[in-house]
Amino acid sequence: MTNVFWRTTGASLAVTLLLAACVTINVYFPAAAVEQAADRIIEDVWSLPPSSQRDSSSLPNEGFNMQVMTRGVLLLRDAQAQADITISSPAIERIRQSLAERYRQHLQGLLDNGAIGLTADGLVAVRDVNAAPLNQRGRITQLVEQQNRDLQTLYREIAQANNRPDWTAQIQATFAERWISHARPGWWYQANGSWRQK
Amino acid sequence: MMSGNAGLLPDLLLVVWLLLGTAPTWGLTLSSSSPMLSGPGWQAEQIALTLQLGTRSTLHLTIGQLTLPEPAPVLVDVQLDCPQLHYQSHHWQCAELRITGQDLEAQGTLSYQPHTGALDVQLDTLHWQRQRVQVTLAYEPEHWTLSAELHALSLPAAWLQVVDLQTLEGDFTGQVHLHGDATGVRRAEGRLRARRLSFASADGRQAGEGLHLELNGQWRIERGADLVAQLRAGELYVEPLYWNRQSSQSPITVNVKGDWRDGQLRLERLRFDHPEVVQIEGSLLWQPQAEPALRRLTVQIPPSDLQPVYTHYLQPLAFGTILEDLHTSGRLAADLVLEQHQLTALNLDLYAVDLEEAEQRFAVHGLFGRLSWGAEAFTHIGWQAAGIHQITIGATELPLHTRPGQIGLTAPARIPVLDGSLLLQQFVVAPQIEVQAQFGGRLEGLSMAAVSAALNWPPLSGSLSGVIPRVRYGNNRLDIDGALLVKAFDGDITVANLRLDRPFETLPELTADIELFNLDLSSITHTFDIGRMEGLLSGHVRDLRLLDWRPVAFDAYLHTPEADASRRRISQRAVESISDLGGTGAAGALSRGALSMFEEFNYARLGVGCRLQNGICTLSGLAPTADGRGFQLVQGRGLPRIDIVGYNTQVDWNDLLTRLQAAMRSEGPIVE
Repeated sequence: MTNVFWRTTGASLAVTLLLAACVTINVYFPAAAVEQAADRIIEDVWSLPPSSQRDSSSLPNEGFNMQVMTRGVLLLRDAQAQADITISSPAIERIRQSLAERYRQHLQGLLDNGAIGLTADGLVAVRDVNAAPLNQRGRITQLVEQQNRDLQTLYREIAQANNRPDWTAQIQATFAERWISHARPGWWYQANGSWRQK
Repeated sequence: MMSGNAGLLPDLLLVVWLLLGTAPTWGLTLSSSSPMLSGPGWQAEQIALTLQLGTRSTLHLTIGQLTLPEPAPVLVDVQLDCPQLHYQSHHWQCAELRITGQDLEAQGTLSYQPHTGALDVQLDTLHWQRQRVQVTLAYEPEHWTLSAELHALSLPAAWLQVVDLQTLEGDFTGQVHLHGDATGVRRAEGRLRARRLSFASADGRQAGEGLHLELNGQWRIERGADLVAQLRAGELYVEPLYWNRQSSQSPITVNVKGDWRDGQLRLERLRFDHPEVVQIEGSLLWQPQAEPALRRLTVQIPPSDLQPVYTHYLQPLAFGTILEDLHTSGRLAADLVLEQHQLTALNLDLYAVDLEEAEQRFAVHGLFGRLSWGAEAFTHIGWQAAGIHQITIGATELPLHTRPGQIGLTAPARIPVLDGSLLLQQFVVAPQIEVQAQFGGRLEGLSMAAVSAALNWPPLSGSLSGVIPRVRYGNNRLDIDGALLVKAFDGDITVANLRLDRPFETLPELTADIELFNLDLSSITHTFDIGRMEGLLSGHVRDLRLLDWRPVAFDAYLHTPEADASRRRISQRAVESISDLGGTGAAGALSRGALSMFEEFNYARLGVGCRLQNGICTLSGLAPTADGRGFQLVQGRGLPRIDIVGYNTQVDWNDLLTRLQAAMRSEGPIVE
């Protein structure tokens, strides 16, 4: 987990950066950190084996700068856990549970048979109801609605938890790419306005 | 399906008959040709008739193109041959009739009586598009009968367009008899059996798989149709309902009596029997050209077990709502009228109904009474016991008054809640577009001990009461107007602007503003067991936001009220607890130092603030210290004077909770 890295090396880095923060504050969207956070959530929700941990040296700097802005000025005992983009808030936890449960109970089957697919904006959509077994059709529309409500909340809450509500759209875009990248062979996803099969 | 085949032969033979019957004079050989003949629904082009009369008479008819009513295809190059035409006892007899055409081949017999006009045709084998049908026609000008027998007839692809389906497979076996006179068909009867029938509409909203259906029916022009359809096996989906039958189970039966007239399907009897689930009686008025097509549907459900009805019919309608996953028992009966997709009348009777939400969010036991909708009615509805989350609700009976468009309460009702009650003074539901409900009432006599136990809070003393002028529910949001008044810790707590968003979704969100007045610290500290304090406490918790019942934001400040004449003392252990929470690092210092001989200290004022945002609590106190590095939490008084100063302005909220819990669990400082 990313936390392991942070526990070992993060504290000293954070201190250094804290000092540095007084001099330069560049705020970029921490694309790589958000991508890793998305991967962690997606692996959890789709119960995939965790992807191999990225080499710590490849972590781009913008992630640190973001933390300096949002957290660095805070006097935190747990600074080492804060230098990453945070995906741990009660709301995010609850949404993750809900997503995982819905996936296990319903969505996995519907993605497998192609009744629903992944959209280009990080949500799900009905693709072909006729691909679903008859006894599952009645709730597809509601499942898609519930799922999309949860996903929108997830993106919003991650932005919120990092004190950057303005990042919601970028977080959603990052997730969109990661969901599709983790999709299983045979699943459908939208690209350039049309459905494609992975 | 039948009309295609049934229409083909009589029309074709009618052509023959017309020619034979109307030819004014004929000699030994007669050849006639006509570019076109047509009648209602059919048209024959390039017709040629050759009749040879002699010892061995023959008849030969060719039709270049025969157009029959849809969905029957256009027949090309139809040949009718009668190599042995006999005239015996006023009958023309053709023992070896043969008809051929593209995709068409038939053999049979024909007999014609010129002076009466009677025509009998029997086609033992009619092969059309590789399908086999047996057709007989007995025709007299006053009365005719056309019968067709189908043998495992597959559905032609042409039907896909007619019925607007993406796929359609299966075969039909059965008989159809049409009886008519010169004016047309007067009577029909038939039985059809469909096997391995599968279909799917393009939008996926209707579909069937492996269906085994039986259709028995009769129709009279003056009386309409009587039809019995049975679903014997297979799966059927009609959004949002789903049926699944094994051939070992008794079939689902639909029995209708009705008529199709002036573009309207009128079923005066609609009987639906789903064995072991429900029997429904009703009527239907359906007008496909109108919008909406469903003009009127009446449904009567006799007392039935709720559980199977819920599983098969109510649960699919409740997907996506709080009612989507219930354990149910008891019985229900209903009478309802739907007009143009609007529920215009309902009488729902409930008998000892139990509903339990699968995630234990609510439950009702022993639900009884009648719910009415539409016309004015006075009814009762009640329950033996109920609960929302951990909040128990006792036996209640609500007297209801239904008026067009709304249901209300006729008299105030007392609903036992925990160890107190909710006096419901006003209650109105107007489920027109979206469920809109509002009620007003008073909470009485709830003990905080019961409330805190129900909410899994630390045990609190005091009582909860309040006036609830108006609670509104609609648009997925519950608003409580006015303020709840909580009497707790010998003081007052008001809860205003209470709002619950998305109560039945993944992340319910509660917002409120709370004000506290003159709470007694000794009873608070007794409750929370963090050491003993005496004095009063006032303050606020504003902009409180709970997500999934956990605080994610608030702005709180609790302090000694200006006019506090009470004794203000703080125990050594309380000092340590506060110090620890405030992060002064003084924990343990008191119990080891010189001050350990004092068990209690006097204080002048105390004040603590916490602004929670993104998991971080920003702490504040009475005032910043002179050096600006800390903030004063407790200002001491007298001797020994003790001031508590906090230095950590930022603490992790979860850490704070953990530390608070630890403080409550610990035995207190050891005084040596």
